[in-house]
This record gives sequence, structure tokens and C-alpha cells, in this order.
Amino acid sequence: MIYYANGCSYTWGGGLFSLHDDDARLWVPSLHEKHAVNVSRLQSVYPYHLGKMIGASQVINESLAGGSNFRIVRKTLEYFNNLLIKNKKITNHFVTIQWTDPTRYEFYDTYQNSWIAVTNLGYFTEKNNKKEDYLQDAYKNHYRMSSTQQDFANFINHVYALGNFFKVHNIPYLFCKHSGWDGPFFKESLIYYKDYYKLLLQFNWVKDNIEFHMQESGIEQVSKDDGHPGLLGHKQWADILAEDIANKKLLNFSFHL
Amino acid sequence: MILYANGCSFTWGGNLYNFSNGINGEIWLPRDKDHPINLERQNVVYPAHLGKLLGADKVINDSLGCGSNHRIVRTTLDYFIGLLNNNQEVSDHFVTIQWTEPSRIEFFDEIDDTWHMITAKSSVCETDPAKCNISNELREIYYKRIYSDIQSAEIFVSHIICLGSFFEKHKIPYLFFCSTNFWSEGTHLLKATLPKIDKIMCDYNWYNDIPSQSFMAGKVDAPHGAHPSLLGHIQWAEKLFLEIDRQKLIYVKREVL
Repeated sequence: MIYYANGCSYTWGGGLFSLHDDDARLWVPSLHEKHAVNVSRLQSVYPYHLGKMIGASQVINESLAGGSNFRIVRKTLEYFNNLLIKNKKITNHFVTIQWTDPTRYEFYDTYQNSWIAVTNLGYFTEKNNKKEDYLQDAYKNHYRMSSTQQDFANFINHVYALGNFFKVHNIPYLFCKHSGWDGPFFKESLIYYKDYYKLLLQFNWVKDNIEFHMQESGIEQVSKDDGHPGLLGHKQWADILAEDIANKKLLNFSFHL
Repeated sequence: MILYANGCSFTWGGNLYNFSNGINGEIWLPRDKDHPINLERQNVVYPAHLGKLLGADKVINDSLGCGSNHRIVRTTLDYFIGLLNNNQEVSDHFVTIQWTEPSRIEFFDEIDDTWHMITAKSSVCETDPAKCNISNELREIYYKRIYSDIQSAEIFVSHIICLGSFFEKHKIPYLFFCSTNFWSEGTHLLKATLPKIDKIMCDYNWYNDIPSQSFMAGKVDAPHGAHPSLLGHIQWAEKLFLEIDRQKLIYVKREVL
């Protein structure tokens, strides 16, 4: 069984590793898989620990710090669609998706031929981790044109796209969230979208609770000011996921803490 | 059985009707949904004819001229999720989705509480014609600063998967097709993605089976451009009817033709 994980910095190793390591070039981990820092990163985060617990023969972690849900959906569909095009089996996978802040976005810069990751803290070019000045205008305008209502509509679209894709293709999966973006953001949106909230529960969420998330799960964090999981926190989160996978009988494995 | 249709101007009645009506343009069809002109329009477009051929008890046409695939996905999910939340049956529906040019987008304006529909050539405010200047400003910023063919193609794939998987999961019979042959007529990039699109997307129900060959334009009477004439809408309904029968999507009485 192959375990596929996607998410943002909470799955990537944020707070423990830096995107700005020019030697390891962690912003394109697929090109520098064997660099010692990258190997260390991949073996520190929860997908690695969970992969061992569920007996995965391979763990693929396509998360990226600063990544958006747009990126998560794009990369995940790209991965599975490429297997489908080659007539390869995909039901031998298990997937965890750690959804991130729905206000995040990405766009494609045709000048650099790279995706640009956009968060409320800034932006960077995925290919080289640079923050080119000429993209400042696009960045500012994206936030000028964005709205809570549209962010939530996009989030629904993303969850439904992957959730039903996994169901239709019989791929067992588990969804989780990194933080409490559902604080002011989510509650405000519920005024418009409480119907959606109820139906989001049809998908497999950790502990069957959309509001349960990594930051408030009681796992160890990097520091008081940094809510990313610490080294122990990643192991603890893997335990929480493994227990939930066993409870839901998503996979057949023996769960022992 | 209820026929639910969504799409852009090809399904709305583009070229047969204008958004703005009345001596001073006081009637705005996207906003004044119950206006007699809107009711008349709904009766001449292909969903109405198809509904009669299929013996549908009710026809719901959620399309809108200038609308994007983002809007099609959002409003279609809104409709079905509303039913699911009220524990109403959804598998008694038949759905046609007419996908539009992937380059289109929409933005929600929180100040005016309205959606702006944006295409490469035009832009419209859904509820207030006086706000179309804002739509146009958003259009200029979006296409100049943020838009890329590669992103619109990627998001189109996720839209098709989102609705296709949703219908499959909820056992709602459906048929997909596009407005125009935008893949072959589009940019080099869109042409390049064609084999991938056809291979991945052919699992869903498409008119003519092959996604890139599944489009309305050029297949029916359209003397004033690509949009169907009154006769063209009747012809398209008949073509869809035959296709629904050929693919055995639902039981049809062939003798009605």
C-alpha cells in the first residue's frame, strides 16, 4: 500500500525546517529528494511516522510550506491522474489531506514558468523560492478581489472534488485541518453556508469533527509562538490519525500505541 | 423526473435575449428572475425542449450568460446540497452540464453583496447593471495580472472531476458537453493538454463520448455566430435526447421524436 499525503507547512515540517535553506532547496523537494536535510525533514514529519504505523510500502509527501488548497487539489489530482493515464492501479493507495487556510491562493507566472504560492503573509515563486518584485501587483490585486464568500465556495469545491474523487475510485482517505482558520473565518461563513457544513461531514474527517485541528489537538508544538508540530508533535499527530483510521476501519492494520 | 441544466449563454439563450430590457433598461434578467421575459426565454432554450422529450415533471435551468465554470460548479452544488440537506431525493434528477470557456472567472463583491462574472471579452455584475464598471475593472486586473492558460486548464480539470464525481457518488444520471471547441481552437497549451484531458475525463458521461469532441457550436442552426437560434435549441435538444438514449443514461421513449 502506498500512502500519499498532501498539505501545507504542517505536513511539510514548518517550524522545524526552513524553506530558505539555499543548499537543500527544500522548496522543490522532488528535485532534491536525497539531500540530507530533505531526507531528515521527510523522516521527521507525521506522514513518515503514520506510514510506518499503517505498514505503507512507500510514503509520498507532496506538501509544501506556504501551499494553498488550490495547490493541494492540483498536485493530488495530477498525481492520481498520471497513474490513471498509465493504466496503473490507484486503489492500492491511502491518502491524508491536511486542508489549509482557504484564503490562500496560487497563480501561474508564465514569465518564470512557475507557480506562485500566495498567503496573507506574502508570496514566493515555487521554482526558486524568490519573491520577485514584479509579482507584487498580482499579489495585492488577488487580495483586493478576494472575499470570504468566494474563499468558502472554493473550499467546498476543493473538498468535494477530492472527497468524491476518492470515493468514486475507492481510495481510502482521511481529511484533517492544520489550524483554527475556522475561528472567525468559518463562523462568519456559516451564516451563508451552514447547509454545506452539515454535508461536509459526509467525508472522512479525523474524529468526525471538522473543527478538530492540529493546533488544538494537544500535540507538542515547536514553541509558544509557533503552532507547527514539533518533532514529538508529528509523532503524536501520527498516533491520532492512526487511531482514527483504525476506528473508522479505513485500513486493515493492528493499531497499538 | 426533474431535469436540471447549467451552463453559460449557450444554455441561457445568448443572442436571442439581452440582459437589459425595458425602455430605460430597467429590467435586468439575471436579477429579475421571475420577469415574464425570463419565463419566455426559459421556454425557448434547449433544456425546455429536452425536458418535454424526456417527459420531465420540471425543468430547472440555472445557466447564465457570461457565467464561468466556477459559477456552474458553485450553483450546481448549491442546488443539490440544498436538496440533500432537506433529506430530499436527488437521484430522481437528470443533469446536463454545458461547460464554458475555462478562462472565465467570477468574483464576489462583499460591499455590494453580488457576484461579478468575468470573461476575456466582457464582464457583468449579476444583480446591478450600474455596477458593471466594477466588473470591468476586475476583468482588466485579472487578465493583465493574474490569469494564465495553465491555471485555467488545471482548474477546469478539477471542476469536471468535482461535478462528475458528485453525480456518480449520488447516482444522479448526467451528461456533459462544452459550448464551443475551445480545446482545439484555443491556445497551444490547451491543445497540448487535450490527450490528457480526453484520457482522464472520458470516464465521465460526455456527448459523443470524447470530451474534446463534445461541443454544441457548429452542430446546430446558428446563423448569428456560435449561439443556437430558436431552431438550433430544438435541434440540440433532439441530439441530446438521442445521445441520452444511446448511452442509456435514463430510459427514454424514442417514439416522442
